[in-house]
Amino acid sequence: MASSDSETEQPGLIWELVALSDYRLPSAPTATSARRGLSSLKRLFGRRQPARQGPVKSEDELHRLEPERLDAITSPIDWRPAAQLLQEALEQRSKLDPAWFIISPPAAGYADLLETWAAQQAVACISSPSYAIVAGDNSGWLADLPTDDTPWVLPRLERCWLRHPAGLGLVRALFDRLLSGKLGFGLVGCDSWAWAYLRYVVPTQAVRALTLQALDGERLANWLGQLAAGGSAELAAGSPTNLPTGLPTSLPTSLPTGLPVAHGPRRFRHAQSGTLLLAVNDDDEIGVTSELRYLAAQSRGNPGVALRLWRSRLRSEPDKPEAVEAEADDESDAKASEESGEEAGGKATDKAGGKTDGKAVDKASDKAGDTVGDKAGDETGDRGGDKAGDKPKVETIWVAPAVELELPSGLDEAEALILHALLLHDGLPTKVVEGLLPHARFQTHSLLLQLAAAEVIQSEPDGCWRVTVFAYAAVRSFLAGRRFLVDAV
Amino acid sequence: MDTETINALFRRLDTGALLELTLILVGAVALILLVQKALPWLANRLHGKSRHYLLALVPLLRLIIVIGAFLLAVPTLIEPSLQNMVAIFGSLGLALGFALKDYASSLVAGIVAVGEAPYRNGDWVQIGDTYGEVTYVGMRAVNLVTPDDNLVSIPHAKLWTEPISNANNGSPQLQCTADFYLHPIHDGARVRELLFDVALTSPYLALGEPIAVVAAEQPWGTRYRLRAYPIDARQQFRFATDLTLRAKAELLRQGFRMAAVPARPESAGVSG
Repeated sequence: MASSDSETEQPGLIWELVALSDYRLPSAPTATSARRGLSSLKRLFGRRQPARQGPVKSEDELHRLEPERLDAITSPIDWRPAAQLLQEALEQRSKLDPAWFIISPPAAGYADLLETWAAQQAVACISSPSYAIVAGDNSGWLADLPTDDTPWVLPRLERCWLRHPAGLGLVRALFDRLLSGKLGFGLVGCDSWAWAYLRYVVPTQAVRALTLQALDGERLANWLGQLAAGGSAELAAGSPTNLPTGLPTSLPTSLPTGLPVAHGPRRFRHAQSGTLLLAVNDDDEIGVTSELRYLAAQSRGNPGVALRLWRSRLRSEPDKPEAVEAEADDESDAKASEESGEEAGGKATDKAGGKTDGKAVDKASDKAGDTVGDKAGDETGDRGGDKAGDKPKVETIWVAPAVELELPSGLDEAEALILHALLLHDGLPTKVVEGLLPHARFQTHSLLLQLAAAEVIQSEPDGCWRVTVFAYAAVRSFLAGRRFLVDAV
Repeated sequence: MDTETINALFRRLDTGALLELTLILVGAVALILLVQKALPWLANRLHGKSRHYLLALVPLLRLIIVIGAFLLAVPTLIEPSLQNMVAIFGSLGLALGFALKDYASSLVAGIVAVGEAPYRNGDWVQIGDTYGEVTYVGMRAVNLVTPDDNLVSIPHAKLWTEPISNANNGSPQLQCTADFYLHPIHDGARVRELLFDVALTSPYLALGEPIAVVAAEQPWGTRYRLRAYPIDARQQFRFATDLTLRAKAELLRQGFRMAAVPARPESAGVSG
């Protein structure tokens, strides 16, 4: 059953299905909140830095990780445990429920969760209609919906409407059929922005809307740790009820393949301060750092956004791309952050790179740097469980400081309309967005390109423009400040 | 009242008193200028209610500053006894009443305008034939910027004689109307649904505010009025344009015919 009570939360549990109204945003550390408040005040009074053209500045000293390596450290989301949780909740559902709606914040990827569940349970997964069908004759698509009692899944309801007088008919007809019980039980995924709008179009209050609880600092630390441990740890570390049984042989395409299941110790250190942020397969126990709490708050508890932001911050040293090093197991971790400011360490500067500013960086990380780097050369060996002497091999990943994208100055109503339309529909192709907005087509097209140049939006492989995960928080805040409708999560 | 009696009312203005008066005057002017510049500047960086509240504060703060400066200056100029006050302000009022009647009327109306707030900065009002956004509420007059971008200054004295039509009354919400004229033979219920959806799907719409479609039968056809609220009052013309264009396109796409009233030459009416 979907939990609506945090007291029922199990320690170590990552995924929790809750009613939409029970979604709790993770709170940022106090210092971070104060810094953000000051920053917004500065913006209000016009003292803003030149707009960044990207979320992350180029770095001279640290290199981004190779895609394969990134996948090995932060494997794509495995939705099987969450799908299992969903199945357990569904087994206790009321037979009177015509459908459950799983509301997904942008880029969270809950549509993949529903597809995973559909694959696990071998139920029909209904493809979204094309935009031509949504705005045109949709009787055929509606007629193809299952009418017997078998459950079905529609992972992307946001693809079934358009903010256009001709674009509301399909979703209304779908709700009519759902609520009249003509379609059997449906599990419907919907983007949170689309859901916020659709309550003015269809009786959303008459159906059950659920979502996965936000990842707070603790959940995020557990989850990232499990991903870094090889992706499989989640299955073992979660509660026994999370263990999938009878998993189908065909798994979702997002699952990593060919990745090692077990790794040696991995440590994630802050590139500026050297602080240990996360350790996996390691004897060291560290609490949830404020950096991870901040990441949870920055991503609004959204796993997709958190993972993308986390991946974008991971770095390795250029001369040691594998960064397999041995760290003294003694007090180095504990002391690293305390002593880093006092120890001269050229190595730290290297690690911090262009991402961070000067002096703090020079002193950064390295106690950790000295400890790690100096010993690394001697002891670099195969990654994983190989042993070099008595010291455990520790793989160190450097985490660049968090950067909050600020929107370019001068964004006005026209840009706001575009961004709002993209969020409401979870992305739109150029032709469609041009047709939905009141501006001349060439003007809309030009604005799309400008926003893309500022990395506020990007064109994705499906041909849709979407707000980037790096800009999402700033865009949401920008739209809320202008009194546009925003989502509930 | 002879010269000596009048002189006795006033204090002797020595250097210290002059300096004090100058400081009060300069201070008051500086504060008023600061309020008049800073608050609108800050308000224009905000949206919604915060903007309106800040803009509406300007005339109120200015009035407080003027009264404060006046109360500080008067004891410096005259002996603050009841007799003296009555004598001075009685004479002053009489002089103003005759010589600057209209000006004084506007000043008094300006104080009433701050108290009663029939218009505030950021409101969209119609005074006489002028419609526009209130950009400045001064001591004597109110400034409106019309949709044609003309600045119109209207004395507050109009308060006494003219109705003031305020479209948003201190809030960001402002109702907009778009009119449609259809051939009388059509499915009215379908038109109502369609016009509702046109408003609902406008990107300017303030969702959660009411949408209304009002129909009225006319000799030449059916008039529909679509009423809805934009997100921000400043979007009203763009919103009305968006409603009009998209509704027209959708009505035509769905086969509705617009009412067409044949134009009649003006002379025909005169001769008839």
